[in-house]
Amino acid sequence: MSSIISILVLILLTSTGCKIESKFLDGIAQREISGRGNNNPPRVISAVKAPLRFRSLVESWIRQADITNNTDINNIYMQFNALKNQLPQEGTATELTSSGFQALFVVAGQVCGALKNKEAALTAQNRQVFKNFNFTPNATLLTREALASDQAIRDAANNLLLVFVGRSASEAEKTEFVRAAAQVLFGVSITAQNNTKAVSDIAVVLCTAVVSSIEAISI
Amino acid sequence: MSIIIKTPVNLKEVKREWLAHQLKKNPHFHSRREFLGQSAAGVTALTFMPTIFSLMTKTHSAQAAVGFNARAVVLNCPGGLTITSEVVPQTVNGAFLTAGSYSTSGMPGQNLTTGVSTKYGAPMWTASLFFQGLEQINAQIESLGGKIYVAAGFHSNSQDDSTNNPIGVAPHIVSAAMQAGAKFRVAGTQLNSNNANGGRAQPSVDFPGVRPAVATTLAQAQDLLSVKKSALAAMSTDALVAGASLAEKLTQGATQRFQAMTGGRQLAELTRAANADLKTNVANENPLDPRTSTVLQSAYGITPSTAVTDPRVAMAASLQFLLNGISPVMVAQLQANFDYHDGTDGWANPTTGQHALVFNTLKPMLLAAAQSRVSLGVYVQTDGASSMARDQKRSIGDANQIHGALYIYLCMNNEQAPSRFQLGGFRSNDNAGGSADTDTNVNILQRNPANEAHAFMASLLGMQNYKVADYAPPNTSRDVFEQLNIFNR
Repeated sequence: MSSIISILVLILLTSTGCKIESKFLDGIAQREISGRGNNNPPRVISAVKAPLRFRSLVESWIRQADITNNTDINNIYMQFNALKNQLPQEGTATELTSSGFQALFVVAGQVCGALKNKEAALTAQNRQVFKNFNFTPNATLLTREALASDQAIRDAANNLLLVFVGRSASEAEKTEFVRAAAQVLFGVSITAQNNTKAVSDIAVVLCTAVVSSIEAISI
Repeated sequence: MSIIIKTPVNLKEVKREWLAHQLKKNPHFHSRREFLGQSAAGVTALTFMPTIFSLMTKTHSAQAAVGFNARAVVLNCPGGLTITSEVVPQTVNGAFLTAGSYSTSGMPGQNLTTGVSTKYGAPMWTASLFFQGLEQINAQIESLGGKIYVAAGFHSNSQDDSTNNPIGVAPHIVSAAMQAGAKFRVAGTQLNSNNANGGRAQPSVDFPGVRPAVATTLAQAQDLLSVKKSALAAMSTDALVAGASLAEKLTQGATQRFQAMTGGRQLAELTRAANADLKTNVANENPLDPRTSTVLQSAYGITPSTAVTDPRVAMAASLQFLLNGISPVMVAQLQANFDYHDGTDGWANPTTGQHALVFNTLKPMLLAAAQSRVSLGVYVQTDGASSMARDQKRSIGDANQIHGALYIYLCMNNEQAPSRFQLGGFRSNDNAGGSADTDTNVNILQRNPANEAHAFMASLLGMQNYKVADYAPPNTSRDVFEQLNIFNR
């Protein structure tokens, strides 16, 4: 009985904490490998965490978001170059500071602007993330819900996390996205003149939050 | 037999193998704690070594939590400011020189017995502009509860000023600050590099790899602080706060999971702190303007109508960022032509000329910091000669240069240096102010070129009563780092 419990505990651990841990710790390691039949278990004798290589991170963001527009890509790298001195130089976790994070946030915003541009140019069914966002609203769509419904935002939350983090969003997280979307337009009176910008802003902000979250920046 | 390979490895995979093996060996062995403990046992942790700068660059709330409020200023004087004109060289025993020539540093003759004061720590020649300047502001500083300390010492971290001198300490400090998150460093005046008449120090702002954003105007400085760039440029403040808040929520949600990882706790904490800081910055993104600060108005003599192109405004903006904790370090580079030139250049005279520029650059910083109740450590960096014998650039080993390091500490908040100053002044091992290479027991700066920069960091920590040894850099022993703290009681 105790064996069964142990196995269940192990399954639970490897499906939660261990899984997450491995995501962060995967990296270059010296691994001592024992021959088959040897009773010694495989043992990691030293390991260095996969560093946060921010240029690579930008590249991966572009790849994950499937951004192909050369102008947008150039703009992302121009922004990256403008801020690279603020970004961590060695790519280690301890370099992540408020200054570096601010730069990261700005570059993430540029990536998300490109993603929004790409998605807005596609039909809803061909979009990857903001499937039911109304990026080209007519003059009568003057509420946040009409531009991006709660459900559209919840779906976008899930899609964003899938694209940039590799997991689905929890229900609680989806709710936070809806709250954030409302806050994006806090105090804004939506008019026929600004409704296109309003829906774009929601998309860019939600995306930027995901791209700059801890799971998206730790590779 | 086992082999060792160096390869990308998936620890999850390794652990799974190991777990399977352990389970096979002992099906009863696991508790959660045991599992987590053993799973991490074979992995080298990423050492988190907080530096002075990482402490300084933490969020305001984190700063408040640790009580640290010191800031650093690097006053870069390329070309060899004759610091020995300000701080009187002594023998290894602390006596005045009986040979050599104080006069080549602009002081009168030998055997100084009068006109020297240790009021601020290191022995200073009272007729120097520097001492006179301190005297002018000291009463005001003390009325604000502050105290000024001056320390100095030889160091060996320099090359001849007739060639590019890449081994400056300022870049080291700035690099450390930048790596730890300083938003930017600020050049007050871009120096005149490669000036044969004024030293050929390589300017710290030009060092490859140590080149963060430099703001020489108010607009540039403000732009560096803004998040409203790229696709975020036209966003409302509420929208940006919404984004930063959501990112914070997502990070908070993941924090628990990251804390279980080796090194993940630091990453999670730093991300959380940075995220909170970003949210605060975005929410308060009103461009700072030193012209509206009464403290800076007083210190720099500016008004709200002073032109933004006025160089005082850029300097005041830099200082404002420093005092507000936005940037932990400020680099003010003065023009070149501080070279001593064997006492032949009039401006090298400590009682006249260019030496006034050094103190006049420092003065508003000290006054504004005192009024803001912020402690300040100022490191005056020079390169090239500051020797005391004409054309005999006193040697350390067989190198042909000595130059000095001068530190000015403004201690607010009851921080007090002891009377015992390890770095109290320039100490020489002969009566002529000559080579100081054998008195390393007295002048610890010379034991290791890195000690100079470390002394600055250790002393800033010491000002705050930190256990300095705990912050020793990886390549420096705890004991040595502790000794470099001027405020070691």
